[in-house]
Order: sequence, then structure tokens, then C-alpha cells
Amino acid sequence: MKIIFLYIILVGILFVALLGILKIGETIKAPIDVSGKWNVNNEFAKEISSSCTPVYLPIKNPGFLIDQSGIHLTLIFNDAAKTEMHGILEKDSIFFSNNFTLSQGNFKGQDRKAQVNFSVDVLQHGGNVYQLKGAWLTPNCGNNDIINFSAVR
Amino acid sequence: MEFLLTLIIQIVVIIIASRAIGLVFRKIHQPQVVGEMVAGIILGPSVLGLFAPHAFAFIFPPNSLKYLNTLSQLGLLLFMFIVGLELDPKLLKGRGHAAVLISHVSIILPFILGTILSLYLYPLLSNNSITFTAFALFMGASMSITAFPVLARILSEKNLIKTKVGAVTIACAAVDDVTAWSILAVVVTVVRAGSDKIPVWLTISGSVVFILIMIFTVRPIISKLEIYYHNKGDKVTNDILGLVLLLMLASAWTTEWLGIHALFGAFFMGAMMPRNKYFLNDIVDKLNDVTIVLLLPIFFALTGLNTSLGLISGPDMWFYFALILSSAVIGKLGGSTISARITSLSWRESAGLGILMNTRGLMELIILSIGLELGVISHALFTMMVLMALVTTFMTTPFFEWVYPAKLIRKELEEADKEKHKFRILIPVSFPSSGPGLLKIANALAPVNDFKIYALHLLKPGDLSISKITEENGNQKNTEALQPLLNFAEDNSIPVKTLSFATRNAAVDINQIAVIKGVNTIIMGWHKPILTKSILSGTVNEVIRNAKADVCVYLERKFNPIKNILVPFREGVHDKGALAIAHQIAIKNNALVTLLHIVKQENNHKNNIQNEKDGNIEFTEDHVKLRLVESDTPLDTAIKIANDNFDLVVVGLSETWGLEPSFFSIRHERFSSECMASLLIFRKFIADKNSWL
Repeated sequence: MKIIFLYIILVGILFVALLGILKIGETIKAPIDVSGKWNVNNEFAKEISSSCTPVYLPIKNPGFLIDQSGIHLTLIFNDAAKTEMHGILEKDSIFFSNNFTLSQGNFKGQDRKAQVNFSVDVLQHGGNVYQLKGAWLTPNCGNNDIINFSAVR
Repeated sequence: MEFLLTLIIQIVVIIIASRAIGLVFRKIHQPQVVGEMVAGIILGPSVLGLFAPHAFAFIFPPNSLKYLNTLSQLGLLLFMFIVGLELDPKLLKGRGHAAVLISHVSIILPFILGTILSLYLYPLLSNNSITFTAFALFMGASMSITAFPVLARILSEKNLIKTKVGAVTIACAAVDDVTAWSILAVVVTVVRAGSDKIPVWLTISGSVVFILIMIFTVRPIISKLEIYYHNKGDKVTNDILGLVLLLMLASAWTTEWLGIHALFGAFFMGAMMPRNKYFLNDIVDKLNDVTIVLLLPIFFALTGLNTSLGLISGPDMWFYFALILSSAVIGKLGGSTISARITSLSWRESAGLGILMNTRGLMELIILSIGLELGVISHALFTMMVLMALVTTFMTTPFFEWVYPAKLIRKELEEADKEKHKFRILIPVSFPSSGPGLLKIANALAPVNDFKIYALHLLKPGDLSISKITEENGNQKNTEALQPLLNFAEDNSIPVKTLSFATRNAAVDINQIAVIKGVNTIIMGWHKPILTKSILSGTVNEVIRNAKADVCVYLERKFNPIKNILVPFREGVHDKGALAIAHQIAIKNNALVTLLHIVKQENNHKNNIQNEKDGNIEFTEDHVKLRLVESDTPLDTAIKIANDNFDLVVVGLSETWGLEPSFFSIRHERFSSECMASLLIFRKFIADKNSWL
């Protein structure tokens, strides 16, 4: 009897508490889902390979995959080197910013870095994300290259 | 068939890594599974991918992983089937209520902490494609797991199965297993709810129907397997094994189709198999080695491929990891400890139980891989949880040793054996065929009354299945290695107590058991060493050097009753001891001892022989006769005379007879190789109080 009584007290009460926690959690909102494989528009693909970006990143195919852990995102380009950029999701926009070492041409092997910024807006319809739009910026490239892009999942 | 070339390379690399790194961790007294988990992480993007990306890309190209995944899933199915087979309701005997209470508290508390933590982590680490309920339930379930197989192995290696804390812990972990997997089935159903695959009502009702059919229809039918097993001479034939595997696969297919994952079906079918221990042991023996050595390391490697330490970057992520780890440890360790204390275990025992229940091991990885597959958790959260599983499993052994030191375990075992006044003999048996000979000698030199003989079989921990770990000690039918000895004991009415232990170092454990049991004499058989010709090297050498008891090494060459015994005698305490035991054997077997006293030529030591009476041995005409020989080559003389129709030669351990223990000797021991009679080599333990001469 003592064991049964203890069981009801220890396990039963905690079980009720569990139900309460699940109820409270229903009101919490999680970040929007932007994970998955994204295909970029052709213009972006052309412009990015003809700009000075390849000096920094050997990206020939700029399609990418987003690996999402809540607000923490990892963008992985679909290139041979699987170039990564890390970013934070805030409401419906993402800002990726990474430093890269110069990789090609006259700069190859030199210890020169450039910061690449990738600003993305998440477009939703009815709570579902359908498109990413934004701008790719590689300063310190002679001309400040701002390349607009869009991507669909 | 390029995929096959890649697959073979992958399997080779995985097996090498898991065995090598597993060995390193076993050396530091960690379970093999910790090494295999680390091996998986090393082969993944965190280490191999980072430091040797080209090698990583060559060994694990992305398009090859589906084949590895198939093999790993097969390994998991077999593993869960084995876990189900090894579920033993008898573990709850006498402690069912306490075990259920401790187990369920140890589940609900970490579960609650996991869901509370989810309130904080959900908006940070999840996304709106997963509901809070699914996320929280999954986090709770993954916090509340205990790795029953790893826990059982730790208990076995520490020889704690028979102690109170060991027995209660095993019972709790068994209940934990069943409960946690049942909860996970519910969680998987909730997570999959609303998917196009199968409606929730079908999953729930289908599962209930499935369980009822399994218990009330399938189980009675497959119990007939036991009859078929008996008809085949208590052997699991290939036909029986094929049928068992078909049943397992059918059950796994059903639960996967119902939406609660194939692993439950495999586990459940294992639990439904006939509970005949020999039948189960045979099936486990056939499946265990391939599963553990070949297939499960592939699963660990795939887990490692999904574990990217680079995703835990920045202080925020490490803070989340710290929260996960502390919730898991506080919930499981704390919950188990407090509930065990409430059921009247001492604080030390409760803490020991709590530490053991905190082990998560492979079971945690299985649940996490299900969560990743279902998309409930992200790669970053998966990585954190894998690290949590690794840390909690790794910390078990050192924390447990801190709370429950080996000295305390020895004291418990000593207190269990209160008979201090009998003459005790310990026979470590390595080869089954040597058992009868060793027992014959043990019985021969034991006093007529008031003696106790222990037959010891030492097992390597990795060779044990859970059912063999948890079977009753002293159950003679289950100790295969001791069976010839036990048969001999029964035929000759010799009382013997059997001991089975898991060991990492046979010599150390033999010596320790000799101390615990208050053994007077250890009798060992001849173990042919791998690298030397000496019989007195390796384990035998270590026992001879360190045992706090007399030690005999027995080589049986003649199998007829012992009637003529030769004792070569020169000098020294070991020769005196050899004479004493030869005399004891002669008394009990109505045999004759020839004391071969070899003296140097031109020196007469007859006076010294009279002084042997100081050893309190009376020479009578019936049992001992003296033969005095002059010789400058005592060894040659002794061997020559020994081959003259003696049944047994009892010789002291000394250089005179070419017998001296050495760790790595290549010296040829002539007595052991040239003497045709059975040989008993004796080493006296020199201690002031314990001499029995």
C-alpha cells in the first residue's frame, strides 16, 4: 500500500504537471521554417559568376541548402567545396555574414579576407514560406557589388 | 558495382575505427559502446571531415550513404530484437513494486525537466513545422532513457549483479526499457499525426489490435518453437533461426506500416519469443556477434556523420548544451536516487543506482536518430543530444567507482560468505576439458572433512549477452565451461561451488577472489602461452607471484588413480610444501609417496632428513618411503626416476628442478616436457600466520 501511495504522489502529480506544461507550450511560437533546398533565379547565377565574387568564393552553382536549428541557420552552397555561411533568423529576415579568404587569381594564397554579406527577406503566404529575396554584397571588390536574387524551395 | 567497392571500403574503415577506439576506451575501463560512439564522431564531419576533407569525401560520398543506412537499420532491428529477447520478467522477482516505482519516477522526472526545457528551447532551436507538443514530448522521452545493455555490462564487470544494488538496478532498468519504448511509441504517433501517410486513429487502433494479436494469438503459436527446439536436440537450427528472423521482420514491417516505427515491432517480437533460457541464449549467440561487430558500428558511424560539432558554435549554443546536460543528469540521477532512497536503499546504494540509471549509451542514439529522421530535432540539437549521451555514459564508471569503491564491493561479498574455518581450494577453469583433472587433485589434497572447493570460470565482458550476465550464480546447468567438472563432481560426490565473473585481468581477479573467499590453495591448469614455451608465464606467472595462498599448477598426463607419487626433494620451503601436499594426497588416496632426496656426491645429508620431522609430518611406512640418491645433476636424475612408473610427480617451484616463474620466458622447462607422469608444481605462500605446514 505504501508503494502504491508513493507512486500516486510521485508519478501522478508529476504527470499532471506535465500536462500543464504542454498546455502552456501551445502558446509559444517557433521561428518560421526556412530549411531545405533552395533554387536561385538564373540572373543571380549569371551575375554571381561574372562578378568578383569568385575571387572570394568558387561558387559556380549558387543553389543552396539551409540547415535550420530554430533561429540559427547554416547556409550551404551547392558547390564542390560546400561553402558555408552562418546566420540568424529574426522574425522574417535573415542576415548571413562571413569572412572569407581570397581564393583566386592574383590574390590566391595571400592572407587577405573580405566580408560577404547576404541579406535575405522571407516571403510568406498563409503562414507558409514560398520565396526568399534579398541582396548579395561583396564590398572591397573594386565596385561594391550588390546582386539581387530570389530563390524558391 | 562501384557502390559495392565504396561500401566495402566504408565497412572496413568503420570496423577498424570502432574496434581500435573501443579498445582504447576499454583500457580506461569505459564500456566498448563509448569508444564506438567516439569512433563514429571521429569518422564524421567534426574530425575526419574537418582535418582530412578529401579522405572524408572519398570514403563517405553523399550518394553512398543510403546503402550504409540500410545496413545500419538492419543492425538496429536485430539489436532491438535481441533486447526484447533478453527481457526477463524474473528480474522483478521480489522487488517488482520497488523497481516499478523507482523506474517510473526516474522516467517522469527527466521527462518533466525535458518538457520544461522545451519551453525555452523550442523558440530558439525548432521551427513552426513541428508543434510544441511533439517537440516537448520528444525531448522528454529522450531525456528519460536508460541504456539497459550498457548498465548490465558495467554491473557485470564490477561483479555487482549479485549484490542488492545490482539486482535492484537491473530490475529498474528492465522496467525502464519497456516503459520508455512504450512512451516513445506514443510520441512517434503524436509526431506523425496529421501526416498524409497514415491517420492517427488508424495508428492508435492498429497498434492496440497489433499488441492484442501478438499477446493472445501469436505468442501461443510461437511457443511451439520450443517443442521444435527440443526435438532438434536443444539446438537452434538454421530453419529455426530463419523462422525467428521472418517473424521479427514481419512484426517490424507491421509497426512501421502502422506508423510507430519498425524498431518497436522488432523489440516486441523479441519479447514474445518463448522464455526458455537455453533457446533464447542460442538465438542471441547466433545473432549477437555479427550485430555488435559488423552492423551496429555502421549505425554509430552514421550517427557520427550527422553529428557536426561545428554547429555548436558560439556561447549561446554551448549554453543550451549545458542546460540539456544538466537537466538530463539532474532528472535521471536525482529522480532515481531519491525514489530509491524512499524504497529504503541506503544513500550510497541509491546514489550508485542513480549513477547507473543515468547511462544512456546506444539507446539514446537510437531515439535521437528517430527524432532526426522524423524532423522533430535539427542537426544542431541532435549534435547536442549526442554529446549529452556520450557524457552521461562516460561519467558512469568513474562516478560509480567514487560512490561505490571496489573495496566496498569486496566487503559485501566477504560478508556474504561467513564460513571462515573450512579449508578452501579455488580452481580457476579456462578450458572445460581441464576441469575434471583439477577437481580430482583438489579433492585429493583436501582434508577428509571440513573443506570447500570453488570452481571459477572467468569470462571476458564483451563476450556476454545480457541474459548470461543476469542468470543466477551457481546454476550449474548454465555454466558450460564448468560442465565437465560438474559432471565429474556429481559422479564422485564431490561438493563444489561454482563462481562466474566477468574479468578484464584474469590473474588479478583470481588473486582477489582467493582473498575474498579465504582460499588456502589455488590449483591451476596448464595454459599454453602464445609466445613462450614456458607453462609458468602469463596468467599463471602473475598468480604465482601475487596470490596470497599456496598455488599449484597441474599438468595431467596419466588418468589412472594416483597410487605412486614421487617428490623430488633438495631443500627450501617449496620442496617442503610439495612433500606435505603429496603426503596429504597419499593419505586420502591410499597411495605411496617416494621422497627422492638428491644429494651432491660425496656429501651425506642423512641427518637433515631426520630434521624434516620439524615440519610436523610423520613419515609412516604406509605412505612415504625415502630414496636417497647422490647426483650432481639433480634435474636429470629426478626426470629419469620420475619416468619410472610414477602416476604423479609433486615438485616444488625452484630453479633446482628447472622451474621458476618468469613473465616472458623462452626457457625450456624440462620437467614439464620430459616427465611422463602427471605433474603438480607447488609454490608455498610464505606468511607468518597462514602457513599450514
